[in-house]
Amino acid sequence: MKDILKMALTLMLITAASAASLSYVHGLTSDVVALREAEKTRQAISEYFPAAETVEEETVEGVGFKAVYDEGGVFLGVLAEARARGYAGPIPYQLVIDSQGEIKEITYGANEETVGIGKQIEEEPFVSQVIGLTPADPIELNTDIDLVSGATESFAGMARSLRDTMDKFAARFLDGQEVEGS
Amino acid sequence: MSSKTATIFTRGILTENPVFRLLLGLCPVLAVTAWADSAFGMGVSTLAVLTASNIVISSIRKFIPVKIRIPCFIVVIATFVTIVDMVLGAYFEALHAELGVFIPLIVVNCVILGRAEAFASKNGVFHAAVDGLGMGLGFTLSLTILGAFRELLGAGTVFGQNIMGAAFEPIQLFALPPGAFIALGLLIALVNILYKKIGLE
Repeated sequence: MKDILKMALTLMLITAASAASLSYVHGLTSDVVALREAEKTRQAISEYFPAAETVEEETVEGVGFKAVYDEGGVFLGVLAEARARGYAGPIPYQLVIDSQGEIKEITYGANEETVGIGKQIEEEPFVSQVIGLTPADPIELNTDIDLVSGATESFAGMARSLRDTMDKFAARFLDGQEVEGS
Repeated sequence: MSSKTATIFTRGILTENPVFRLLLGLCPVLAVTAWADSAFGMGVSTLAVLTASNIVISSIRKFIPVKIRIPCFIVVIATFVTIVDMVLGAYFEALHAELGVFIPLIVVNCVILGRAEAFASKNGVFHAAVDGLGMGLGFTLSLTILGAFRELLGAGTVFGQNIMGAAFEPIQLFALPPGAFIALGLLIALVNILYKKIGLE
């Protein structure tokens, strides 16, 4: 009985010390991460929407939109954040979409796609095929997006997710305009 | 440096090199060595965790009941791994993204638990720190050599610098997981030949 108490107490002390040091380090690093993310958003906005005045955040079924408006309240475009399902887990990515629904930029978050195969979603020619797409485009493999052999799952996942993000963007921000292919 | 300290230090780098001699901790060795810089980053992260956990485990070794030593070691190791994960995420974003899931997996790297069990739990703090540094440096060195070797053959570059020139056709196999096994086998053979030559067995 005494043994068990001693063991439980020792383990409890060690885990308590561990929790305390982790919360301390988390306090130091979480601010740095939050600042960096805010800075990235600010840079993307000032690069693509120099007239930006207000930014409104909202989430449409798992896709995060930061809608940007100018001084007069005119809609300029969005920063969209979504996740595609790749070959090796989720592929988080961000899009800059202008008020006409045209993709201006795509950037990727951390993912586990295979270097040289699935990772080609982050390279040419895929990136230039994505830039310029609008909700009216088909956004389909082998139609306007080329499939790279051996990397079907990564590319199919990206195409599906882009289609979905553009549909949600169009439904929310481009109401009244004809959307094909959805 | 006394001769005992020197032996403890060099053992991890040469005679008991965890990767080339003991074949320990091979999961990250095979998984993140497609590029020299990510291999080096993984090596340094492991070095930091190994040294810190060796120091802490050695200093609390007399309070830990034998029966629960393994869970205690794992908690200490996991704490340092999580700290490394958070620090990399905050200050080395690109490396953090590149290493991905393999950072949390340092917890189950058998080199670290192995040194805790075999050395740190039986020796003083100073020697445990030296052992952690030596083993960690040996691990970093092996990973970096393997990473540079695979990057050279798989992409023609080392640390992103073009070495082979434009005429070189990269052997993509070496950038892929099977190439890791082949490259590691070749390097182990090379190390064995070298050690035989200089009589370091």
